[in-house]
This record gives sequence, C-alpha cells and structure tokens, in this order.
Amino acid sequence: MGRGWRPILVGGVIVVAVFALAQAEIFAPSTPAGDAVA
Amino acid sequence: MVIAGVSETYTDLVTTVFSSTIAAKAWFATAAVILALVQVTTAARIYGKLRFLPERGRAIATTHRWSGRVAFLCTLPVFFHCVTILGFQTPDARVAAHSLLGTFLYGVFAAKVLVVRDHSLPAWALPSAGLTLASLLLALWLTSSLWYFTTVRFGF
Repeated sequence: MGRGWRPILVGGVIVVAVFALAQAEIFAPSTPAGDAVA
Repeated sequence: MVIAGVSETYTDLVTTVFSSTIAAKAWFATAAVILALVQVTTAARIYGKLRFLPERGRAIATTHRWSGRVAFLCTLPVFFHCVTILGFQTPDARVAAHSLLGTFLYGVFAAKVLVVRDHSLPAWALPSAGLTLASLLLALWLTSSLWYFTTVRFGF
C-alpha cells in the first residue's frame, strides 16, 4: 500500500470516531432544551 | 448530574455574548467560512493564480497558515455543541445532510493536513484536498448558518 493511503486511512478513522461521538451525545442535557439544530 | 451540567455551563457561557447557542454556532461557522475563503484565495496565489493579489511570498504564506489555524479554532465550539450535545440527527433533509457532512469535516481536515506534509504525493492531491475541505465547510454553512440567518434571525 502506497503512502497516499495514509491521509485517507487517518481521515477515515477520525470520521468513524466523530460519528461514534455524535451518536453518544455525551453532554446532551437530560431534558430537551428546545434547541434546533443549526 | 455532572454530564448534564456541562451543557448548561456551556449554554451559560455562550449566552453571555450571543443570544443563544445556535446564534453562536452560526457566527463561528460564518467566521470559519470567511477564513476558508481566505485559505482558497491565498492558496490560489501560492499556485501562481490571481495575479492581481500581492506577490507570492512570506506574507501570502503566513496569511494562509494563520487563516487556517484560526478557522480551525472557530470550528471547535461548533463541533463541541453539534457533536457532544446535539448529536447525529435526521429529522429532515437539511439536518440530515448537515449531520452527515459534519461527520466528515475533521476527517477531511486531518487528511488535508497530512497531504500538505507529504511531498511524495502527486501535485493534484493538495489542491484537491484543500478544495474538498473548503467545499465541505461551505456546505455545512449553507445547511446551518444560512438557514438560521434567513429563517430564524440575523443577529448575534
């Protein structure tokens, strides 16, 4: 595998990590704040 | 509860300056997009385009680097609120597109930074990565800040 794959692999790992973090919503308030997504 | 307190503390902090956390995100994202435009413009100058701009050299390179660094910093509060408080949502097409595109932002950013440092890659790799990142940021702005400014309110 050439070096060109390194940015794609690292980027892909970060994408997966961000998606997992977004699914976890670790700091979401326990009651909805009525905040729209923007 | 400590975790719920993080969201409340963040909201309290942000609303000392902005009317709401959404307004703060809209303005931070706007700053990031403007700086991304500076990034694309200075990069084009570095590549010998846009000859009406100042001569290629230290000033252009420094402007390019610092606009990128500040743009990255502007995205951090947006990331914090979107990812850790709101999470991945799909209630309608706009929010779904925003969530999906936003998931890719830091991955594309990391890839672009790695491409900058890797001189063994073909010449098209860096402008492609840079334009992908700038386009992604613009798409995120269009699906969030523009929506906020045009349908909710235009103000701090």
